[in-house]
Order: sequence, then C-alpha cells, then structure tokens
Amino acid sequence: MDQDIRQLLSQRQKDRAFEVLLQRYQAKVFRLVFSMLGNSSRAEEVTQDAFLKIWQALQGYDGRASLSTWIYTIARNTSISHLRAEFYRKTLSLEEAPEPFAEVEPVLSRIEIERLLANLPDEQREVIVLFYLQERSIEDVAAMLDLPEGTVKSHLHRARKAMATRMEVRR
Amino acid sequence: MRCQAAQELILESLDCRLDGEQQNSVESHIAQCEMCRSFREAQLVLDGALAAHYVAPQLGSTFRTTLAHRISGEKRRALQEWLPDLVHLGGGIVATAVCFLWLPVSPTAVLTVGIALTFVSYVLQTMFRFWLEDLEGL
Repeated sequence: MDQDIRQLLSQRQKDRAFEVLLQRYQAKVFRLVFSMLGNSSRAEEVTQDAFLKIWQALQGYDGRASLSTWIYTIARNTSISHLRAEFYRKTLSLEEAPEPFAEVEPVLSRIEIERLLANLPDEQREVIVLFYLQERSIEDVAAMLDLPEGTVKSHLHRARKAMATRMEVRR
Repeated sequence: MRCQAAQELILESLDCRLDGEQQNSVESHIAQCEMCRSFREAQLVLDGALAAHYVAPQLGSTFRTTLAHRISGEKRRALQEWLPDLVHLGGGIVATAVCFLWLPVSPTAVLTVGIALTFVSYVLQTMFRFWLEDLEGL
C-alpha cells in the first residue's frame, strides 16, 4: 500500500515522500491520538509533534515494520509521553477536562455509554473506541494497535456482547 | 442454524457486510428465535449509539501550515548546527587551494599539509565547541 512512499524514500526524495505520507495518514493519526487524549486541541498539538518526529526519522526508516505500523507506533509513543508529562505536571483543570464526544440520541445517553465502556477491559475499550473513530476500519485498528485483524474482531465481538448484556441488566 | 452461530454472524454483520447466503440464514433463524431477535435489536441500538457517540473531530485548517512552519524551523536549526563544520571545511579547501597556486613548494607537500591542518584545526574546534557547550550546561 505504501510502496510509493518507500520508492520515493529510496530515491532520496524525503520531502515528497513526507507529503504523500502526511496526506494519507494525518487524519488517521489524529483520530488515534484523539482516542488516547480525548481532547481535540491537545490531540492536534500532539499529532504535530508526532509528524515532526516522523519527518526527522523518515530517512532512517529501515522497512522492517510496515510503514503504517511504524507511523502509528511513533504516534502512540508521542501520545503516551504527552500523557505522562501531563500526569506529572498537574491534575486536569476543568477547562482541560476531556471533551465530550458527540451528543447522542436519547436511546442511550452519553453517560450510559461511558458507563458501559468503563466496565470493559482496557484492550476491548481501546478497540471499540478506535473502531468507531476510524470509520469502522478493522484493518486500520489492527495496524494502529499492532494486532492481527482476527484479534481485533474478537475484542470487538466480546466487547459488544458484554455491553449488550449490561444494557439488558439495566433495563 | 444454532443461536451461537447466528449471534456470531449478527456481530460480524456490524463489522462488514455478510454475503447473501449468510444474510438469509440469519434472517430465517431470527424469524423463529426470539432470543436472537432481541440480541440483534440490542446490538443495533448499541452500534447506532456508539457510532453517534464517537464522531471524530476534524483537524484544524491551519494544521498543515503550522506543521510546515515547524519543519522549516527544524531544517534551519539543522543547517545552523552544521554551518560551523561547513565553513571550516570550505575555509580549509580555499586555503589549501591558494597555497597550492601561490607557494613555491611541491603540490604534494601543500596538499598533505593542507589536509593535516584542516583535520587538526577541525578537531581543536570541535573540542572547543564541546567545552563551550559544557560551560553553558553548568
């Protein structure tokens, strides 16, 4: 899929390769970072940091991992560093509290969804959030989490079953 | 079709489209099975709610320009870091070339001394820069 970028890199056209890469991955990386930070303006800043790191390291990309895995690993590590720094710096102020996601129809309130998600194991919650943020692409979620697609599906199915069971119990 | 298989297909249908045969077998199972029918209803409600909940925000319109600006800054910084080395090397080459043209000494000797002096002064200059950086760090 990223053969064109690899080819540009082998021709030492780093800026052109980065331009193609940015066009292809900026939205996906932003959504990945957003899923981890929960705040769009901070996510945009961290996405910038991640792409700056990618630009700095691009010429040294050795092709051992797929390009997407390499990009998502940098994005995830950048987000984790940011979260750690935040954690040590201060507790969240009200102004910087995680942004609410979109308002939901009354069938299931935002609070109910958050409660259902909170009961899931971390890996299942991460898969569910990314699956919907990445416009239902299992392939993207698998690349982002560096998991086989089958494992992503299995996490999704388990999470959905667990959430539906809890919904039933509440009604 | 057993309930477990039907429910797996119902979950599968939320990830991707089922083929016609799978779709038909699920529909005929659901027509007879109350439990799987309510399972599907619950899953559809949940799916709709999650899809509405997780609407990804869009990147700001200035994202690309800001990033381009930061990258230009990095390029300038990298050039500034290399600049003393480039100036040093250029100076060494020019000085050797001038001596090569004007001094009444054998070209081989000029070239050897030129390379040696450029190398030694480069090492001294690098040591001096490290020393200055250490001083700044104190």
